[in-house]
Amino acid sequence: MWLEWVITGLFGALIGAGEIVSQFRDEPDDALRTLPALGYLVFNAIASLFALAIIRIFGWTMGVQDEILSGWAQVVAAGFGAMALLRASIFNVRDGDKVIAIGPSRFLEIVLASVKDAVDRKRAEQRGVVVSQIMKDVNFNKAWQALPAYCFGLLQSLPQEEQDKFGKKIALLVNATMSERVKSLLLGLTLMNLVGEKVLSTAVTNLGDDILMKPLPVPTASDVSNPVG
Amino acid sequence: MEQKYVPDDDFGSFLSSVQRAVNQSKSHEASMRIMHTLSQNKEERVAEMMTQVKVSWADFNDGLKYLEETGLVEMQDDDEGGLLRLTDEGLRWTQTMKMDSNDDDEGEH
Repeated sequence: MWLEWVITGLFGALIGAGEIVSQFRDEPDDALRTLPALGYLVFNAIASLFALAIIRIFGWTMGVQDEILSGWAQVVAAGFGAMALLRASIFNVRDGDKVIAIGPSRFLEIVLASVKDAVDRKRAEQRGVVVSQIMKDVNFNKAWQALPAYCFGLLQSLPQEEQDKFGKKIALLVNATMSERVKSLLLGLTLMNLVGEKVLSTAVTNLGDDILMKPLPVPTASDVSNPVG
Repeated sequence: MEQKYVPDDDFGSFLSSVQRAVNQSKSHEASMRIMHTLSQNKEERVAEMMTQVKVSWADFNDGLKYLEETGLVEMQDDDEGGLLRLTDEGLRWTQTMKMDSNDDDEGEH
């Protein structure tokens, strides 16, 4: 008997998990490990359990005579019933170009938006660390044309429209009054969004000294023995 | 019908676009001021933004159009003349740009 309740709860949680995974295909693990996502799974599980309780209180057997089979039919009905009910909207309100659904689905939309924010924050931290590592020695003045051109050359498939858009962003940086370090970070961040971490890292390594800040000269033996020159 | 020939292009569009855009420095100044203002307030009405960035209407218009083309800022039309806000990418840019001012603050102390 208790197994049916456990399965019903799991059913609801799995439906919620499937919904989150479908929205965050690139990083499903990250998405599922956030607090709003866990809350979303628990909420779906509770809704399924509540639906099963209602079904049992009213004694709906789903037309199945066998007691055991009827119990499992109720489990399936509770899982799908809760899913359908929670995702329903009673009516739609139009606000300008937007259509806002009013009903239980509105609540789920808000929770999913919190999951998206949490995942974005987590990704932003990771991206920030990776970009600062890759771009730490890159000189913006040397790199702003060569690095993107080389990355796009490696990719070979970036649409012209994307290239134009990217060019405009970089022009904004060229004329901006901010430190070279921040310009380099923004160049890396914007480029990584288009080409990914591996291509960016490979390009920085391959271009090497052509885009890196001038390394400090290594003192030679003659410099040490004759420091004044 | 003669079809327009579009050559294969790995990075030529980027180079020509960036060279063209670098010469539009006047609208860039307005664009950066809009970005700075939006980094402090999450969203801003167009009319209020105009008074804050203190540039001519033409420069403001060009700067705003430029930012919309880059996808860093979006404008939502409404009855009060429009609401400006940063896109997700624009938000990441301003967060990185803030590192500059943080460094300046630390340098002063």
